[in-house]
Parts: sequence; structure tokens; C-alpha cells
Amino acid sequence: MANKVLITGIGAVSAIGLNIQELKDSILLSRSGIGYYDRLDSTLSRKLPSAQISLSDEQIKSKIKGLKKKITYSRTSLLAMLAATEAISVAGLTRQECSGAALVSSSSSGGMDKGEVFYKDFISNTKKPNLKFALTHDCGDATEKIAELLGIDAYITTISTACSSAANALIHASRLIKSGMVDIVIAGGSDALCRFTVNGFNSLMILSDQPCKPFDRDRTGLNLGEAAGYFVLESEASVLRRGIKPLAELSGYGNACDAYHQTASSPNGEGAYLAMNQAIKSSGYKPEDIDYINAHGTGTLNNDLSESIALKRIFNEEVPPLSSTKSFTGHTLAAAGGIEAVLAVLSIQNGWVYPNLNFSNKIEETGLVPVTQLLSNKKVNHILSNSFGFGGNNSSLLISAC
Amino acid sequence: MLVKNIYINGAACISAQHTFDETFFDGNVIGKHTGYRKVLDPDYKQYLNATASRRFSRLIKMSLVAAQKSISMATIITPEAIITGTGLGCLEDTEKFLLSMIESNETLLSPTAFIQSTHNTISGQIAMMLSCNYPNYTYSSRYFSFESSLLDGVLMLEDNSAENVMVNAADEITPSIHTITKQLGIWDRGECILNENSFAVTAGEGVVSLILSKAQNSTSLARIAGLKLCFNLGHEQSIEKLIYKFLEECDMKTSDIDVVILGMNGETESDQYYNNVSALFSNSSLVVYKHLFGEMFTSSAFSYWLSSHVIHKGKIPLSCLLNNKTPAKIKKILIYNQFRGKYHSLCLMTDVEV
Repeated sequence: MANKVLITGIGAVSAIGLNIQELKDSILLSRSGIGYYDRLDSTLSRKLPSAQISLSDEQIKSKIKGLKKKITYSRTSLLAMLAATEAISVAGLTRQECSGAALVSSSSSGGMDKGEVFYKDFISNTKKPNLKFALTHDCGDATEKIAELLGIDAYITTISTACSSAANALIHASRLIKSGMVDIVIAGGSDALCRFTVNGFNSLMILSDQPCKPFDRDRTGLNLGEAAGYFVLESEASVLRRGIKPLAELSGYGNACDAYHQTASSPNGEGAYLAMNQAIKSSGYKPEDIDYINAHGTGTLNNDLSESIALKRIFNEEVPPLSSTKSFTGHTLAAAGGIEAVLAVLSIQNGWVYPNLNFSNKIEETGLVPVTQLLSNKKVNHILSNSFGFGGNNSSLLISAC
Repeated sequence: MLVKNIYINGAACISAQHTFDETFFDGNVIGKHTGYRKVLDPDYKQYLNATASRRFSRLIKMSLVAAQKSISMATIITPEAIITGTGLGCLEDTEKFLLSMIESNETLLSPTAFIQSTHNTISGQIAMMLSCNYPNYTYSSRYFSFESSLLDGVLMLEDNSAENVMVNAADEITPSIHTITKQLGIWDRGECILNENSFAVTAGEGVVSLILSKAQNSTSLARIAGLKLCFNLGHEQSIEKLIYKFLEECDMKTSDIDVVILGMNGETESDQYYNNVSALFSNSSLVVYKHLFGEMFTSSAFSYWLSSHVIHKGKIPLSCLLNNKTPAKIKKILIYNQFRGKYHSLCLMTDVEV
């Protein structure tokens, strides 16, 4: 396949760290971000465990250089800008290089954190709604804000495919590089937690009232989280020209639609199976080459069983070391594929295989036992990273050592 | 980018005009209207089962029906990718869930509206209707929502991962969003396009569904020969330079272009770009459409639908003609859209004769 896609920058912000270093520290200390938070004006959110970033919007804003005082930024855009700025700095991109680069961002709820406040005032007869909030509502807003901050001119776009968004952003970015349209792409995903999301997932009755237990027989649902994970992806030619050392390679990807139910996964995990299969096939590697699987593993009854079945369809009895890091970060929706792909790069760099926290008993039907302690000094060359979403949107990335 | 041999083999549109039955081309045009350009709903029950007709919002229903039509036009069974661009997603369900959350104070919420509020419900439901396990994408990026979908579809055809892809645009307007956009001063400013006898541009809604294929067949309407997207012109580039560069890539001169379709909306800040571009094409017919279809994030998709049929039928609806030039032949159309100097998109569409 023409044109390798190389990862040269990573940036992450989540409940377990505002940057890559803090993220690594939390991993080493097995420190989960799941707990009780009271930032949101929501009784429900205070009652349920989640993985939120403890800073206020203003505090995050103060950490980003170059923002305008008078402009209203959604929390989603602030998280995105913080992570994207880190990725650019790791890659060492200049302003001029950014101008010719493409930006492929993603979000599921966009600026709903401001949109829901606006709408409440809009329908009330007493309060005057803040129109500046309405301007940040759509998913494309955060992308424009990142482009403005980083000086990206060539091409920008936004994916919104629920919980597989960031993975799909990386796939579109790959296609842009492979086609030769651009040399450098900044790509990733961001989602801030808001009342709308908490209430939505609660209405589906898939939120757990305790820290999630992915792949456990007695799992009781997921915990929501907020995060942003961004990348700099480059062609080989660009890496050579800039004389830098890539961190890893995005060696394969797959996207398939379960076409089964708007929110539930099919019993045989068809979409998940097809996505993983395609990711491995497109890389030219074989299932036995995979050293670690960062699973979607939300902790819901439905996902973990369906994903386990799909895994067994591909790997039979030889399923590689497996874990869900959502037990650290919560389910960060559109950002999940981004933060988990960042973790994949760190896994390759540090020889880590992450623990799946809170696991006790295996699911009887499939018998998969995830890794429960941090493994270090492992040779990790190929990682499969799964992100599955509403609408049957299933995506899988293969990230390889260079 | 230069695009090799990509054919539009199906093109359906549901809009505020008679586009679904295509009588729009026979002069069946809705001129004056009040409020925003609201979709002329087809009889959904004719196309969808009772559950779908009852449960789904208008946007999902019109997307499903348009998808059915484009597929049947192209005589394919299953596209190997479904890609949808939507600027604002499923607004009706979003509002419904927000309202019940606020009114019930976070208790006793039914999940249906939430489930259907996510942007990718449209592509997801089309996949379910077609039992299509192939790649499924949703783009939501303001005035590139549709164009990014188109670009991704073209890239999938060019890298040989698909033979046929479905590319859609879908957006709905609700009374609240109409009020909000008016207050924000976008889309609905009561301004007319240059032509004095045209109507003021308002907000609009609708869906377009295209089937793009690598192979030409008897249903081919037109061919996509070039596509270029540019978010921000930057300091060194002008729109004129961008167009010259694009035409050069496509091995064309300005005089080769028979028709230019412009996304004019009557707003000075946007229309200055269209005026500059018009000046480059003194011999071409100039076509506009937003006075009839409305302005919104995916409004440009109407011009792709329009262009493919204009090429196929060989005639331009008079209600869309900006200058008085009726071309002798319609073989090459340049589509140009942008909004307030950002999100520039150019597409060269040609006829399919060898």
C-alpha cells in the first residue's frame, strides 16, 4: 500500500491527566479518574460516578495561549485545543507547516455544554438567552476554533459518529495522506460531558452506579467521561523532510456498520468482527502479530459480550492480552478512540500493557480474562484499538511500532 | 484534486422545491414563500413501513426516502459505503430530548429522542434499511459537511476500496432554530441575490442523496472531474488564483466552462467572492439556487443535485439563471460555494459522453 501514515505527535487531556506526562503518571499509579463530581448543574450527574476533568472552563482557557478574551468557547473546544496544542508541540510543527496541514477533528455532542444552557433560557420567558452560546452548538465549531488557534488553512473537517468518532477521524486523516492530498494532518476527537449526555445515557439505563467493570461477569454498565485525544499524522516524505523520528505508525484501519440496532450491538458482533478483520487485513499483518488489544469494553452487558464474541471469531482461543482502559478514563465518547490510540502509542514506547481495573470474574459464554495488573518491559509492536458507537458505527485501528 | 472517472449514477433530492418528482425542471417552481424554505414532504407512508413512518423524525424519513430513490436510479443493490454530511444533525429529536430533560427536571425520560438525536442516526438508519455492513461515516463540519462526505467518497473510489458509494447531505430546520439563526444574523437576512426580481434568501432544509460509481452505465447523469476544498484562502492566495490553479489541474480554461453554479445568498460579505468569480467567466451561464432552496450548512448539496440533472437534461431552469446567457451546450459545469470567505469548495462536473 502506498504512503505510510506515521504518528509524530500526540496530545491528551482526560480525568487522569491534563497532558501526556500526567496521563503516564496516573497509569503507573493505577489511578482511575472515575469518581463523583459536582461541576455540572445536574442532580443526576452528581449522583452517578463519572470521569471528569476537575478544572472549570475558565481554568482550562487560562492554560491555552492565544485565545481571545471576548470569544465564547465550548468546553469541547477548550479540551480539543489543549490536546491539539500538545500534539503540535510534540511533533514540532511550525505555524507555516500548520497552515498547509489538514485538520480532522471529531465530536459527538459538540458544544452542547453551552447549547443546553442557551436552550433552557431560550424556552423560558424570564431569562435572555446568550446567543454566543448558540454559536458554539454545532460540532464544526470546535474544529474552527482549533484551526484558528493553530493557523490551519488548507482543509478542516469534523466527524460525528458517536463513540467511534475519533477513530474515524484518524481513518479519514489516513486517507488524506495516502491519497497525497496533504502531507500533515492533525486529527483526533473531543467531548465534554454535559447534562444532555448524562441524561441520555441514563435514559438508556446503561450507566453504572459504581466504577465500571469491563469484561466482568457482574458488570453493571458504563461510567461517562470527558477527554480529548489528538495526533499529528504525517507521510513518510514529510517525516524525512522534517528530519524527525516518528513515534509509531497507523498501519491499518477498518470501519464497518453493524446495521443491527441504533444503540445495541448484534449478538454475533458482526460489525466489530468486520472492523477488526479489515484493520488487520489492511495492515498486511496477521491476527497472531497483535500483541495487545485496547478493547472498546464499556462495561455494559451488551457491548462486552458482543465484543468478546467478535474477538473470539477472529482470534479463536488465542486472544492476545486484552484490556479496557475505560476503567481509568470512563467512556469519553467521541474522544475515546483518540485517548485510547494515544495510550496505544505510549504502550509501544514504554512496553506497557494496561490493566483492566475492577475485574473479578470472567463472562461465562466467552471466558476472556483481561490483563489486571500493569505489565511493563513487554515487547509491544502491534496494538488493535477498538471504538464502537451508536448507529452500529464500528471502527478499529492498528497501531504499530516503527 | 483531479478526479478520474467518477460517475454520478443516481441523484435524488427532497427540498422546498418539486425536486423529488423532478417537475422543478418543467417550471414547477415555488417562488414567494413565508418563513423558511420548508421541505415538501413526500408521502412517506408510500416508501416506509408503519413503524418507521411513526417513529422517525422528518429528517430521518426524508433521508431514507431519498436514499431509496438514488439507489433505484443507479440500479445498484448495496453501496459499499454510506457517507452523510449534516451540519446540525437531528435537531427535532435533540430539541425534544432537551425539552423533556428541562421540563421533567431530569426524571422519567424516554430514550427514543436521545437515541435518534445523534448525528450518525441518518447514515446508521440507511445502513439498517439496506442491511449494509460496509463503512459508514457522518461528517458535521459547517459548510464542508457535504463536501467532506463527497471527498471521502471520492477517495474511497480512487483507492479501490469501493465501486459504488452513497454520499448524502441532510439538514432540517425547526421553528426554534429558524428564530435562533435569524437572531444570529445568518442565513435569513432578507437580502436578495443580485437579480432584483429574485426572492430574499431565507434559511432552508432538505436532503440530497447521490450514488457515485467508478463505472459509467446507462443511468449515469454526469461525471465528477475535479474537486478542491480550501478552508481559508490565507494571505497569499485569492479566490481567482485558487480557481485558475484548480482549472489548470483539470486541464481546463475558463472559456471551457459552460455553466458556473454559484452559492450566492445576497449577503455582501459572501457575495463579493461570487462576484469576483463571475467576472472570470464572461462567456458562461451563471446559475444561482439559494433564493429557491434556502441557505444552511449543507445547502451546496442542492447545487450538486441540480448540476447533475442540468447536464443530463441539457437545460437550465430559468428561475435559476442569473445572467441572460443560455449556453449552446452544457458539457462542463463549475460549482463554487463558500460562506463569508471561508469553506471554499470547487467541483468540476462534466457530461458523460466519451
